[in-house]
Amino acid sequence: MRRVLLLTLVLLCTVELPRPVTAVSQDWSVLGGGALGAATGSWLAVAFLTARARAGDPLDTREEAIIGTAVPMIAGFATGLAIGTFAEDHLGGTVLWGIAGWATGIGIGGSLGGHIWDDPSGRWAGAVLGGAVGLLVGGTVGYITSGTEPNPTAGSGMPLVVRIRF
Amino acid sequence: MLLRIWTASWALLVPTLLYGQVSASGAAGAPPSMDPDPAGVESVVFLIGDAGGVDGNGNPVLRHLTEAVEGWSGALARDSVVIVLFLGDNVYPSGYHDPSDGSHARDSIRLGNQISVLSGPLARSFGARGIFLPGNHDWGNTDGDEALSLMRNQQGRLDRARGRDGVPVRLSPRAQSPGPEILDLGATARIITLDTQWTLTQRVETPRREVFDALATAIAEAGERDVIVAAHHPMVTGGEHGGSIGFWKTLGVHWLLNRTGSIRQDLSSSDYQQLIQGLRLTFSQGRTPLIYAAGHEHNLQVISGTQAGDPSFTLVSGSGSQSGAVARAAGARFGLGAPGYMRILFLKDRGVDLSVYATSPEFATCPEEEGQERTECMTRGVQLFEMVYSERLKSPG
Repeated sequence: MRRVLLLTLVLLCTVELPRPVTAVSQDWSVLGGGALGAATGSWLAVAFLTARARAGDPLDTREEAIIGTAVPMIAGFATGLAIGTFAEDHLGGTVLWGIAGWATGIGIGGSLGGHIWDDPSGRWAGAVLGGAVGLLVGGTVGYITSGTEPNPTAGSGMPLVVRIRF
Repeated sequence: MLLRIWTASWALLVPTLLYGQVSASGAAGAPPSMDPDPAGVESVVFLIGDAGGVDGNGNPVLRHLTEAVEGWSGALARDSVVIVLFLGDNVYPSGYHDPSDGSHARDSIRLGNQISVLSGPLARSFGARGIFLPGNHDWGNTDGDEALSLMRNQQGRLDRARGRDGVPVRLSPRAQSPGPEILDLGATARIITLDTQWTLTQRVETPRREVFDALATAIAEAGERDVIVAAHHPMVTGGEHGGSIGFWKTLGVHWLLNRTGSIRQDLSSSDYQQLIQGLRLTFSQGRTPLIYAAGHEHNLQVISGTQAGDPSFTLVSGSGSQSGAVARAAGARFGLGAPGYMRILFLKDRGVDLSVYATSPEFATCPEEEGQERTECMTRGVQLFEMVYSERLKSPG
């Protein structure tokens, strides 16, 4: 559990609040969006597999775990990239609210899981499931409520720049 | 080559020094003699597990074990007093396929390499026996008809080796039977085999309880014999299945899934917990076995019981064809992530001695193709074998 809290702190440190769009800031937004999207996809996949196991259908091997999380991880990465590229002004709010929801979900879920399941891993299962719900709810709320208002006085904004470095 | 040998020596020695030799305190008696007198030995049981990944013509572990089986068969020169327990996962990665399958040739080589351990002239003369237990990979990590077919294939191959080639090997428990099956070594020891993969995949409580009841009866009827319960899945372990997983190894995914009990083959899963609780309840209600022998983890561990219902000793010997990390489990007396096997001597004075043999991790497998590189690998791998741990599990008398 300490590692999860540490990871939360690390992720909070990466939160990037909305800033004017420049090429440099967008580079970081795209990268950060992709990385956090991949992490979100992985967490949701683990939560899905945990829910399946709690319903009586666990994974048979650890190899299945790698396969089961690969697609959601890639999907999350793509989603994060898309937000960082095309909706950068939503990124900060999405991440901030997402992490807040995730941390809250872990706390509530961990507590509930210990009561619902009496085996030693019940608390962990609750934390993962709660974290997933928190991520989804927080991320969605953050996306909807964030974003900069259009500036009617602006004649022409900075064009969108996507840099691909080799 | 010299650098490789030096590295290999230290790779083996360092973990032994750090972890292996913490064992002396609390032992049942003084460490046994390095070279026990065969005249004082009633029977010998070797434990090797997860050896189903050896291609080509064997690996250093199987070769060293073959030499040991030959040596003890000749030294004791009595019928059926040398036993090798293959503790499951006898055929990686997904069991023994039928001849129409493209994997059959590889599966046949992998199982054949283990059968060869019992094929030496002295082993044959004195009827050294090989008992193969089912593991989750032998079931193809599945259940139902597919698993049954794989297990019947493996059973058929072993039966043919016994019937056609005269090598006394068999699958125990028999295909799709959960056990327990009993094998008595005279009046000194009773080996009870279980198919714990059956128990893990069995969803109905009643047949599972029947297995535990039968196990309790088998232990109770052992009389004065020391009891070894042998199965693929350990009750306690400091290996990966027990949760000793590097967090970043799979970016936290496997670590989290283990903590949430989402992988059936890990001790944290609900199915596995039910297996452990069933065994503990069975052992606590009657006589506690001296030894619970298992594979599953790719390392060598000696663990003493720490709570009611634990066997006196849990021996994990699952590094027959690969080796993995090991951390300290509760009650751990020894742990080493290196290829090897264990030897248990049942003495005529009713003492029981354990020895653990291992080589350097890089010699878990050797190149498949015959040639100088393979020859050197096999030679060095066998030469570097040494006794890395020994303990008297039971004092005489």
